[in-house]
Amino acid sequence: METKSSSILENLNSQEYKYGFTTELETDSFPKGLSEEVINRISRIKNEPEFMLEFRLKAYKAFLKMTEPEWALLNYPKIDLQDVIYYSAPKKKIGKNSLEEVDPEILKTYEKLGIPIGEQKRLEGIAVDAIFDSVSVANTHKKALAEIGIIFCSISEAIQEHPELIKKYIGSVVPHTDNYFTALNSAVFSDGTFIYIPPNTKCPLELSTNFRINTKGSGQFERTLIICDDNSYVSYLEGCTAPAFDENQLHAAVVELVTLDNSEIKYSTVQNWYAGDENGKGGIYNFVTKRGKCAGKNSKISWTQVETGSAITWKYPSCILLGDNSIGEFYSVALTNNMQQADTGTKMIHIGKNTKSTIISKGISAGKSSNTYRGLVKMGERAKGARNYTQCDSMLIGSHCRASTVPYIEVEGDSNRVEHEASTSKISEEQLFYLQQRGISLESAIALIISGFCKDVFKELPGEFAAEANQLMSLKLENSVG
Amino acid sequence: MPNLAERNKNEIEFIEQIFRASSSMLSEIPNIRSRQETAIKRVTELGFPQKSSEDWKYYDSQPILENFFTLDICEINKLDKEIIRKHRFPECSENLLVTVNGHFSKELSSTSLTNKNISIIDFNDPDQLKKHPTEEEIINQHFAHKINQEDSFFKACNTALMSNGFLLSVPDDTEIEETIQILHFSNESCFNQTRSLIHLGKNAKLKIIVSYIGLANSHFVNNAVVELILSEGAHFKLDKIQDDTQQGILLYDLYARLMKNSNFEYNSLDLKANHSRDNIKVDLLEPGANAGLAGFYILNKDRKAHNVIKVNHLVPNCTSNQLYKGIISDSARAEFNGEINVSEGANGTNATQLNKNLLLSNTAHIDSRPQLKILADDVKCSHGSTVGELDEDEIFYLLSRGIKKDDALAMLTLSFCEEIIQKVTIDSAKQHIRNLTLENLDTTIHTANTVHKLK
Repeated sequence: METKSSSILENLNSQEYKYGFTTELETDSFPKGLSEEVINRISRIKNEPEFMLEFRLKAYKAFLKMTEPEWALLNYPKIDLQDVIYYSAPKKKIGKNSLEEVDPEILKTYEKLGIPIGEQKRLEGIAVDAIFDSVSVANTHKKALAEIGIIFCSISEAIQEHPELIKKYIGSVVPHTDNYFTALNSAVFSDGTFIYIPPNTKCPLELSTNFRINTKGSGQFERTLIICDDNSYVSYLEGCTAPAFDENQLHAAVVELVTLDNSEIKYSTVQNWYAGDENGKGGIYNFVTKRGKCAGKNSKISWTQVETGSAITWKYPSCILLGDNSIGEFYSVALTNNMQQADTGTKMIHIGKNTKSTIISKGISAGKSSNTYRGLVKMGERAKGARNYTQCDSMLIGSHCRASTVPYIEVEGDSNRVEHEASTSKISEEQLFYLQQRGISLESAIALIISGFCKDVFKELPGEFAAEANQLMSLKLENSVG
Repeated sequence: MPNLAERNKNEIEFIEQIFRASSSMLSEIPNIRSRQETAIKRVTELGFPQKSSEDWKYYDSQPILENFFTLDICEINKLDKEIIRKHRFPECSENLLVTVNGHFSKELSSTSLTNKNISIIDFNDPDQLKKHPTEEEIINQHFAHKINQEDSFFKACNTALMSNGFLLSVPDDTEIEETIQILHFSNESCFNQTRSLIHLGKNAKLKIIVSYIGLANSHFVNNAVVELILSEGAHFKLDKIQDDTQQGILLYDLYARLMKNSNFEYNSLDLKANHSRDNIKVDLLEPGANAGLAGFYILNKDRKAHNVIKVNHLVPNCTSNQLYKGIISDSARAEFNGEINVSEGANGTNATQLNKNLLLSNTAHIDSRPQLKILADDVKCSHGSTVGELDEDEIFYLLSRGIKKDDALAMLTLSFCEEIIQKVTIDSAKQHIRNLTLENLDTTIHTANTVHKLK
């Protein structure tokens, strides 16, 4: 059996990327390159108020003084930011009042992706914002949500229609000076999702955004801002796909979440950007800054992520636990295969009293990939009675991959408690043997074990996405093990 | 915070001083001299450690830059014999090695040692080397190993500035029953370079207990470097007691290379000193090698302890474990930065890592970073880290049995460290460590009386 499983391992070969098709569309794209003029143009096209342009230019100025971070366990050639298209939009005039106005080609694309933006799918209980390259192309259920006071729209629309909320919250969690990629994003971001849940409202639908990069050579710089007012709740899910090009594309997003008193945001991601081929050619460079601020008392932010795509993933969804008794959670499955590299984890910053955080991270590396968990738990002296529990497990499949665990634990004060544990292992021969002798094929056995390994995280995903995530995992590992 | 420009100025000045001082420290022995010259080059290439580097992230090198700028390389190696008597453990009275301010002192060391098949050689003494060709070969092979790739700034400084040091070598198949004690004294306000090379032949066995003892009442830096080679089947146990004064800074650099089936046990006890930084690197070079690293730090006032550990599993079937425990009170600060690196192909690796901390005050601070970097699939690696206060249930249990609260706290705190203290070889050393621990606890659990009763 040893030989059989190792021969399967040797035969590493990734499942063809299902979403790798390109949609032929006429697009309006800027020429490649980054300059103050490009930023001015983006702002002009979007007809933004003065304060947004100022925000962008301030970020650009800060960006010019910054250098690309090098501390991550990632190995990639320097990104030439002058070789990126900063704005690309489908040419047809977009009117989002009715789906008939959306380019049928785009509708077809989303149909192929299985995203329910068509009318017939409306009953599925999910409201979707679809972002295609740099703009939002469709947004469902908007009216119904507006009736109960929920704002769910693209961020460009929100800048027009709710400038007071944008002015108050944009950059309040992730300042434009935070790091190289946030400064870049703040300067050139083109679209994204905006959600505002008014007080005492439990959002009746799962809100969701689907991000699609379509144009070759373009970068996607999206910006998401979710605000959950007092005593409210929202669950949000994002999905990401891109066509298979043989050159790398940059995706540098910023996501900001704010929860006020007694409110909760549940943020789930299924990231399946194109990962490049088995030789590491092409794929998305995914440099994302996601951060939530539990500003209010008893508030809660929960991040769940399933990271399966991208050539490079650099992503640390974090929680600033500012309000007393606030809770931060991070559940992550990161799978890397072939030449993929992921350096991902979280930061839990405990500031308020009796704040609690839980981190469950599962890393699976196969092929020649590299998978790193990097996480910070920080408790200041004011955070009395803070608690953290961290568990990060890695699984290695094959002998050429790499798994690293790099936790940072910084604690001050005698009433705070941190527990961290981690393990690294491979799929045990005993487990495989046990399943096989019960007539389960080797491939299904491995899929079963991996599904069990990730169970703690998948159970946090909303509804049917858990089943989908399971399928995605087996697909990604098909022919590599199971 | 001093401004950056001033800091940089000090750093450049620091390196320039080393550069100037090193020219007069060059050895007469060509093989050592050439490595010292390379070391000076490395010092300038590496530059003063910066916070931006992951390994120095939590280390504040300002005290070294500011207070210890005189950089006198101390020539004095005089010491009252009475002091030695006070510090040596009765079990080791005949097996004693002494250095003073980084200088190996033959006069103060016990002479009976060499009768036991051990060679102890001042490796900067050309006459001695001529008489001992085997030892000379060991020095040529192992002193300042791969200095041209050296990545530790302070180790490179030591190599450049050291004026003497000793080689302690145990021949093949020799088992030394007695524990050898090494006393490193610092009694002047200087930047001391303490250097030793320890070599164990095939199947040799040796136990050493080392104390770093500060006597100076003014500031000093002891920059100590130990290089260690364990040949096939060798067993070596090293206990290090850090017993410096409040003015002392100890920079301790240990590099161990382990061959087939060799076994290395290291216990670090960090009990005094203003601040200390252990930089431990263990290379497991041949299958079957095992390294067990343990440490205990008790910190009060504004003291600091940094433990930076790298265990490199380079070949299959090696084992290693790290267990570090600490008690931190007042506004003290500790860092545990342990790393397990498993190279590609190093299957059958079994490595564990555990760091446990007790924080006893609201301003006590711990930075714990247990890291795993793994490139092989058939491995068992785990790590853990806990930070917390004493368990309330345990306190309650003792209180419910009529034990006073202060006593209960002292008992629980002591039992927390006992796991490491038990690993130390010599009984009188264990007692000495317990005493120092209690002294430290005195200020923490404000119960001088009960603590004394416990003594």
